[in-house]
Amino acid sequence: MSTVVVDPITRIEGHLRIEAETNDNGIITRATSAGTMVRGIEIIMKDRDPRDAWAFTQRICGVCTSSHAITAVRAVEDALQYPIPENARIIRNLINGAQFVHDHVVHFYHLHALDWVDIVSALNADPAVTAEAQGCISPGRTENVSATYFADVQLRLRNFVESGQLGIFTNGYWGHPEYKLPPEINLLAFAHYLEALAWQRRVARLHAVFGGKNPHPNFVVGGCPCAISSNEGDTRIDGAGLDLVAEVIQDMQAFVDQVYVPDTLAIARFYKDWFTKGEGVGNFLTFGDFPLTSPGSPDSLIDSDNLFIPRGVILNRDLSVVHPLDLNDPEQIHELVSNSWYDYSTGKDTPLHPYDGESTPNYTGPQPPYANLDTNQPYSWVKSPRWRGKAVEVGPLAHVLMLYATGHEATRDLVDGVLMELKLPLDALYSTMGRTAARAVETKLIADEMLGWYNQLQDNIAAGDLRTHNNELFDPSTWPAQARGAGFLEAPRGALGHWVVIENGRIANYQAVVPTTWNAGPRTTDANGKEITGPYEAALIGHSLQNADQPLEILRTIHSFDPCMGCAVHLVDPDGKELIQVKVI
Amino acid sequence: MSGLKSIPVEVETSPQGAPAVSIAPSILSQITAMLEALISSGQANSIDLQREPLGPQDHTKLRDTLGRGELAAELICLGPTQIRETAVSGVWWITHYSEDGRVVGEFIEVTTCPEMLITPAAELASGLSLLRSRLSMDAQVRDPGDIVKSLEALGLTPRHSFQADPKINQQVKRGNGNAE
Amino acid sequence: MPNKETFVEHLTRQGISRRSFIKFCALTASSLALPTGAARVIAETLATTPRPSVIWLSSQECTGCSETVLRSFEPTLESLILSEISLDYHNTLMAPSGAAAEDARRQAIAAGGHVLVVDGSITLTQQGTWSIIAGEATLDIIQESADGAALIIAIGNCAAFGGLPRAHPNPSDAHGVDSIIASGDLVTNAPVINVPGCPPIPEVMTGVIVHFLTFGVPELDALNRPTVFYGQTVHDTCARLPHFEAGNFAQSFDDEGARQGFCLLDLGCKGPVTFNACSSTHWNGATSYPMHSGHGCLGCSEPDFWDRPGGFYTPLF
Repeated sequence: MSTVVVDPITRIEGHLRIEAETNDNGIITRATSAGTMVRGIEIIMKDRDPRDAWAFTQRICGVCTSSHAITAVRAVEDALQYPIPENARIIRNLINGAQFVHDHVVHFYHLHALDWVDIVSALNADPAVTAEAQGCISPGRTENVSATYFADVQLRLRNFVESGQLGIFTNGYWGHPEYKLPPEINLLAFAHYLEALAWQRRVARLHAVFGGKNPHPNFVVGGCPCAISSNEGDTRIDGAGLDLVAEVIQDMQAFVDQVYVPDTLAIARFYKDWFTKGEGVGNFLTFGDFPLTSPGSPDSLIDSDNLFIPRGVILNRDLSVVHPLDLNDPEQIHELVSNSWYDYSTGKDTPLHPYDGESTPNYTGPQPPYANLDTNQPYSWVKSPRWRGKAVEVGPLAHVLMLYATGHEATRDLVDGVLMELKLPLDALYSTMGRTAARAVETKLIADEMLGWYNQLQDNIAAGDLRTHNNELFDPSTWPAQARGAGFLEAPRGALGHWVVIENGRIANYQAVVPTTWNAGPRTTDANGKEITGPYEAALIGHSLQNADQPLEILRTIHSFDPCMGCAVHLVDPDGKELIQVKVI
Repeated sequence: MSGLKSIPVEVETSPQGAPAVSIAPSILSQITAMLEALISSGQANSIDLQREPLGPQDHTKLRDTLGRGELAAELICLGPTQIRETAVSGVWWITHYSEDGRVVGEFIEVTTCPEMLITPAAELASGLSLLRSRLSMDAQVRDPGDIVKSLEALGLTPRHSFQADPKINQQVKRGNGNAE
Repeated sequence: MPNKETFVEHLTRQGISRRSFIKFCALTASSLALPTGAARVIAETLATTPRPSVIWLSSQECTGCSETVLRSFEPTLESLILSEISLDYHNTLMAPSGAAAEDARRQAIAAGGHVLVVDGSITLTQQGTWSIIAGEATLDIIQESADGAALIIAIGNCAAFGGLPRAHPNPSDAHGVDSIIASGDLVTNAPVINVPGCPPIPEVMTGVIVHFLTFGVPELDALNRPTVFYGQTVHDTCARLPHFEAGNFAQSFDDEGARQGFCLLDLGCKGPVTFNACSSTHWNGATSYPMHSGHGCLGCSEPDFWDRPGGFYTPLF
């Protein structure tokens, strides 16, 4: 038995360490997922103006740069029962939709792809065969498909490799026996890696139009800050600005349909064995998102039927039952710190609902420099969220399964089509490659919705409704002395919730439970003494490592979750004198 | 006090907030001096128009005075670039665009030939190998059956492409309410 | 480690023409507000300068500063990755993980003369144990990586001034790079350039790197920020300045004034006290900037902007 340590896990957001115990056959029997950095933004939220909360929480993460901000304004709007105009609902959906599409494409090409694609092998590709393969993989594509194009990319790559200074590709695991793609597919994928770098900066402009900049576009409680321009040029939301938004949406759809989805399927075909491992826990949770109408919002978020991604919980892979979920029910969502570097005054093993949470960060791990964690002691800055005591997975697979289970036609068609093409059963989704395919599927689903939302916005404007912000409750003097509310959202990585308590116009308590916390949190023990393992740690069990110095297999599965450790945030306000923490990894 | 306030006053401001002053004459003087230097000593020079506080009328004045010459070239390198000789021999107007079509640089060069128009000798050799490599690719007689076999080795057969759901309305609505 | 190629050698290998190189030098000189003739100096210097090795270390980061560099339109990130610099260590982008990644970093340090980029603040609480990578405190990793560095760039408000983690009451004892040098927690002779913003505009970052390679450290203000980008307030160059001067102020985010692009001072804009290039260079390929999309400036390139009394919506005056 030995322990493989992988730290830093690269090509994620934030700081993650994986320790995997392997048996004599090199198979992982137990895994430990540890968040190794905390910003401890204790008390920072406390006593501040709730209208500022979106800007503070937004900086939890510069990748999912709109997710926390939208959740924060929703939390305050829920607390104050503060409705937003219809146009603001649509603009927030467009911003979140663009976030999904941008984030998933960048994740696939720039964070995940190097686990499946051997770029050095691309040097052996025949550009003419590559062009033919491109035509089979994506017949709808007409630009950048010629043999000359691929030959030019290959020449660039060859010259780069021969220079000796390989930059970010230095010490990559090139030539690892687990790389299974033929050279032509490697070359094709590398060409698209480069194209995606250009594409992503173009499509970020949607955020810049509505939010002024990306990363970290601006938001406001009560709607959106981007007033619609009276005359062309007065503000950014004029004819030219809206034309640019339409152009971005079409650019997104084209790249997703012609490049991202076909590439995912092309690569998946050569890694069918990765549809049989990396499952996780078989339980899935969504808070739901993308409200479709505004029946006097914030009520637009209450009814799960009004959400494009519905809310609910799926247990034990059973898609015939969607369990209802209530963010305010004290019996449902809890966080534990049994194996985390925090203290609870109520006892370390107490499960606490976010409204009642409390923590004090307290590092009790080994003093650096260290070679190994003691996994029998608390070992992470990430907490362990549970739904009715169970560990659940959040993220694209949860989204797609929830849509599938609730009978969403486009989802069923897409998923069934993908499975048929790959000649796989539905169960194949519960895996590393299944999760990766789900990410591509949901990107297409959302990209396909965005033009409809955009056209609704144009219809409203044409009909004379230009409202983007409701000012009625913006002044704190209009607020009740006490208010509390929960805001939620689906981020690209999964279910995100913020809970706020407002007293006399200031934040008294602010807490968040974040997607990667659900997925990456440490194991816990339930009331019956049974060990409950979280998704990351469960997914790695059974993986066999060909070469412990090049743990490609671990990276493939961990990356399939798209870790955002900065988001493993927990802002908890202990009652009384204790501290609120943003435990950000 | 109210008497003064009743006088309507409008301050003309440029986009930077400073009052408008015409700078074209000063730039034209610089160009004249640069052309004299080019003639006498062969020294080339340039003016970065983006660093000058040009008002909208200055641009027009410069264009009108310098006029348009015989030669216009369009380059594609890191995005488009336009190079035009003005009617004044030796004075060139260069406009750089980004890949997405924004103006990112504007220069006036006083020279016999802007460097960007010349093919550097060092690149001739790589041009030759590019031509040879493309000719050899053409020369490879590819049996269509070979291509099919290579594709089969990759496990690929032509397949339908993923299109957007045809039920989804693909028309983009414009600000005037008309779908296109 | 093989001899480093010069820029021009590398560009030629990449099939990037001399024309593109000339254009790049001209545009860079312009963006740095350098006098005419500087473009030629840039071209000649880069022709003989080896591509610098860049090590990017993230401490208490949100990754927004890496994301902003990814959005760079001029020069592009592909060109940065493949051409201008050798990005030898960057946790978010690099292929290897674990020991192989740390080896790549050590190789780059051993060669010396590298540029060290730091994003995120640095925590000193509980002997630095709140931020550990590969079993080492991040502070120690930064020290190791600063040895032999030719330049340190602190990108973003967190690395420059402590940023969000440092906001009151600063529970993780978070510091910017200048602060830990001043306290002696980090020992280095390398010059430090601060490129603050939350995050900064990417063209500022790339302009700073090129300026350093050709002319050395650019002129800096009292906060070690390059004056070419931080020498004016965003108010000075804001397109809404005429409205400010005319007394036209929006009173809410969607009133008639807001829709006509009135000045956002009464809605809390901190433009008059914020030094940055947002309203001259603009964001995302000149698509927009905060005020043009209707929200006031947060002041994110200034120290302690998170703690400004009154918060983001109280007017400055």
